[in-house]
Amino acid sequence: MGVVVVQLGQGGNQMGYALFRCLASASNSFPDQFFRSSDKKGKTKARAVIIDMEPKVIHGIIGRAKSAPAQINRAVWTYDARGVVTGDSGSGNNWARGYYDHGPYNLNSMLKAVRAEVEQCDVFGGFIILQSMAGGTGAGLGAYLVEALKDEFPSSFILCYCIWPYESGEVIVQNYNVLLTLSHLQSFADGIIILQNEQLSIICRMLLSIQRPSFDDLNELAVQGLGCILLPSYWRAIETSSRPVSRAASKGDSESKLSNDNSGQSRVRILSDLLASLCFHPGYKVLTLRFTPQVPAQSLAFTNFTWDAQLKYLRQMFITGAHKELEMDWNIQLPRSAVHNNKQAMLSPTVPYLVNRSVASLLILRGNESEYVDVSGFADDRLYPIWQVDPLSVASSSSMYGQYELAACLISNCQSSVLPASRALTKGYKMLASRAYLHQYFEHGMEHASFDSAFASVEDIVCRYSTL
Amino acid sequence: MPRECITIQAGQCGNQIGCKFWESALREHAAAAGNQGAVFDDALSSFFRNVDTRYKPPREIKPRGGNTPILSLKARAVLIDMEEGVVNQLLKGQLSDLFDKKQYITDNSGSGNNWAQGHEFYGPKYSESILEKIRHEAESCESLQSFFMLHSLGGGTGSGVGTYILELLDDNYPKVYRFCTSIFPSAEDDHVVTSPYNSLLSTAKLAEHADCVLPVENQALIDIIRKRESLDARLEAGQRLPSSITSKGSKAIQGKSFDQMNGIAANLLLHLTSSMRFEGPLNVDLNEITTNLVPYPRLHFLVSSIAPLSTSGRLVQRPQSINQIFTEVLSRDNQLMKASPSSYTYLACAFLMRGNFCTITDLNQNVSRIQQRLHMVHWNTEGFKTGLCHQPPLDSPLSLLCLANNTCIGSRFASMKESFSKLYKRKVYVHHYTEYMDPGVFEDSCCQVDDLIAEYAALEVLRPPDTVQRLKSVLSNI
Repeated sequence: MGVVVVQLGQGGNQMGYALFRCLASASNSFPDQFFRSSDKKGKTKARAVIIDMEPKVIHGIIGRAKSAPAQINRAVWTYDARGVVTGDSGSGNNWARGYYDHGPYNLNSMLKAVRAEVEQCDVFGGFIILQSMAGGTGAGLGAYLVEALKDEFPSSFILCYCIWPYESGEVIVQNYNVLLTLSHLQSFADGIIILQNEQLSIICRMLLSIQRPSFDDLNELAVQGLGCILLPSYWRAIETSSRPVSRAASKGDSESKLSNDNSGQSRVRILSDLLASLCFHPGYKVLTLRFTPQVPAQSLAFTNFTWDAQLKYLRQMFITGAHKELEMDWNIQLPRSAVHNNKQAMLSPTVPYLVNRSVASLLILRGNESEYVDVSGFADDRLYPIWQVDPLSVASSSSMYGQYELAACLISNCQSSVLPASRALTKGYKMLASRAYLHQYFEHGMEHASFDSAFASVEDIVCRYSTL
Repeated sequence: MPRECITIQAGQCGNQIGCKFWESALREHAAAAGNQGAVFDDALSSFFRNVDTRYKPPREIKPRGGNTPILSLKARAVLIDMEEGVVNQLLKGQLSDLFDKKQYITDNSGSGNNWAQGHEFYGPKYSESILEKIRHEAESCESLQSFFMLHSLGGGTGSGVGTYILELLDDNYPKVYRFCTSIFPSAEDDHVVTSPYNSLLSTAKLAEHADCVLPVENQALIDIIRKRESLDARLEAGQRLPSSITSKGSKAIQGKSFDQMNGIAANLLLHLTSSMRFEGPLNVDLNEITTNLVPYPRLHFLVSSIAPLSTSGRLVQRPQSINQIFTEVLSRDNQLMKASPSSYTYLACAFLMRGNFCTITDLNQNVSRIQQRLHMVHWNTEGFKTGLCHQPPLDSPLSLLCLANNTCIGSRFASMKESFSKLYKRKVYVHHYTEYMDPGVFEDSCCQVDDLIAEYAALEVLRPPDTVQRLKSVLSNI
C-alpha cells in the first residue's frame, strides 16, 4: 500500500527531506509505503512529489539526497526527477499569489506529477502534504492544491502536516496567511497536524542540549513524531492481560516478530485507520503530536527507559496541553465531574486553561513489551466529552524505533491544537481593522469578503473546540 | 533559472555607483567560487549574461546545471547619461568588457541640473531608444523579476530621466518589481542650488511608480566613512573603542572618499540580493520584501542600515558577536540616511543576515530582544521579517542589513518640502523649468508629497482602538 508525500515550499521541502531520511533509517528496510524501487537499476526512490515556486531549495535537497552516504547498510534513496514541479519567481510570502496565480497556472503539471506517482502505488493509501502555513507557496499554493486533490481524488485521504511559524515573527503577514490556510484546509483536508516552530525550538534548547538549533535540528525533531506514526504498527487493546509466552528480545528482526507475536493482530492502515479513529467528525480535524522521549542523542545510551516513566510524562503533557517534558504543572487534577467548561480560556488567550480536553486520541508505542503496557490512564473519561464512547486507540510495534529503546507518540484531537489559531485571530483582527497589507492581496484577485469568511471559519473551529 | 535583475543607471551619480556595484559583484562571485574557479551558474546569471563573442551577433549561453564555463560576461544593465564623460570613463576602464554597444545611451549637453529638461525633453526624446535597449535585455532573461534603478535626485538626468524611465517601466512591464536606490541630497552639504525642486518633483513620481525606494543620503555616507576611519585608526593603535563617535571635522571630501561612498551604496544592493543569488536556510526574495514591508501602497520608503561598518578590503580582526551586531545596526551611525527612527514609529522591519555561523535561533532571540526596545505601530507589534543567507560578504564573516519602514521618513519629506517652499515662494529659477513643462506640475507634486507626509503623520499618532470588532460564531450560542 502506498502513500504519496507532497512537499510544498521551502519549509515543506526541507522537512520532507528530513522525513524520508528518518523513515529510511528507522527500520532495516525501506518501508514499502514510502519508497519504491525503480525498475531500471533497482534504485530506491521516495514516493514524493516536490513542488516549489523557486528552484534553489529543490536543487539543494535533491543534491543532498544523491550525495548522502548509505544509511545502515542499505542503498541510498533518491528523489524521482519526474516528480518535481518548480516555478521561477517565488510567491513572495503572498498567500493570494500562491492561491490565485501560481495555483491555476501550475495545476496541470502538479496533477500530472501526482498522478504519475499515485499510479506507481499498488494500493493507494492517501496523501500526506508537508507545508508551512506562513509563507506564500506552502500556504497559498498548498491550499489550492489540497482543494484540487480532493476534487481529482475524492475518495482518497489527505493528511496535512503544517508548520506554524514562530509567534515572535518570521513573516510579517503570517497571521493573515495562517488563518487563510487553516480555513481552506478545514474544508478540504481530512486531518491537519499543526507543528509549532516555537515549541520545537524550546524542546531543542531545554531538553536536547542544542543551544542554537538550526532549521535542520528543528526538522529532525519534527519528523520524529511523524515517523513514529507512519512506520508499521499493530492494533492492540487498551487493557491487556499478561501472556505466559516469553519472547526473545531480538531487536533487529521484524520479519520473525511478525509471525511470532503479532499474528492475529491487524496492522494499522496508514491514513485510513488513523483518520477514522481521530477525525471522524467534520468539525474536529486539528491534531497535535506529542512524542517521548525527549532526550539528547548523546545521552541515549546512558539513560534507563521504562514504560511507566515515559508514559507518566506523556500523560501529563497530554493533560496539561504541554509539548515538552519539563516545567509541567503536576498539580493539575482532573475535575471530579465530567463536564469542564474551557470556553472562556479558549476565546481569550490570557486566561490559562486547566485541562486539555480531547475528542479522541491515538497512542502508538514502539519497543520491547509495548503490547503489554497499561495505557488506561489515557482513556480517562474526564478528558473526553460525554458523547465519546471509545476515545482511545492504541497500536504498538515491538521493533525499536531508530535509536530509542522505547518510544511513544500520542496524536490527539484536542483543545491545545487550536490555541495558536486563537492567538493568530486576535492579531489578525488588529491588522485587518487597519487594512494593512491588504492591497498586496487584492492585487492578485482576493476580496475583503474572502478575509471575512476565512476569519469566520477559524472562529467556528475555535468555538467548537472550546465547547468540549 | 533564478530570477534576473536588470540594473538601470541614470545620471552621473547613478553610473558611478553602478560602476562600483559591478566591480564588487564580480569580486563577490569570484570569492564564492573559491579554488575551482568560477563557472557560470544560476547565481551569476541573475546579474550577468554569458556570451560567446566569437559569433556575430554574440551568442547567448544559458546556465545549465552549474557547469557552464564563463566565456564573456556581460552585465544585465542599461546605462543612461545626458553627457558623455562618466559613461565614457566607464567604458574605457577595467569594466569595459561588461557592457556592449547596445546597452548605453548618451547625449552631449547634459540636463543642466534641471528636472524638467530631463523629464520632459530628454525623456520623450530617447524613450523609443530606452525601451528598445531594455527590451533587448529583458528578452535574454528567462524570468525577469525586477528592475533596479540607480540614480540621484538632486541633479537633472538622474532625477528627471530616471523618473521618466520609471513611468515607462510601469506602463510596459507592470508585473516586474521596480526597486530604486535614490541618493537624496543632504540637508547640510549640497552644491546644487535647484536640488530642492528636483528632489521634490522626483519624490512625487517615486511615490507613484516605484514599488520600493531605498533612500540614501550623502551626508550619512560621509559620516560612516569618517567613523570607519577613526575606528580603524584606533584599532591599529590598540586603543579601546568608544561607544559612539560624533562626526566633526572638515567637510572637505577627497576623491578617494567618493569611491568609498559609492562602495557603501553598492554594498547595500549586494546585501539585498544576496539571498536571491546564494543559498541559505531562510531565503528572502525581493518580492517578499515588498509583501512584508509595504503595508500601504504609497508608503514604500525604507530606511536602511548595515552592520558592521566594514573596513573595505580588510577582514575584521575578530568576529563580533551576533548580539553586538544587532545592537549596532539600530544605532544612528550605521544608517544610510540621516533620520532618527528610534524616536518615531516602526511600521515594519526586516533583518537580513549574511554569514556562515549564524542560526535561525540567534536571529529569533535577537529579534525578540529588540522588539521591546522599538516602538511599533499597534497593529504590527511583531512585524519583523527575518532572512538568513549562508554566503558571507567579502570583507567580514558576518553582516546584517536592516530595512525599516518608519514614519521618520515623513519628517524628512517635510524638511524637503520646506526647502522647496523657500525657493518656490519667490519663484526663483522656476523659469528654467517652465521652459519645458507646465507650472501646474509644481503644484501637483507639492500636493502629492503633502499627502504622503500626512499619511505618515497619521500613522505616527495612531492609537489602538478600544475594542476590536470580532466575528461571532454561530456555535457560541450552543
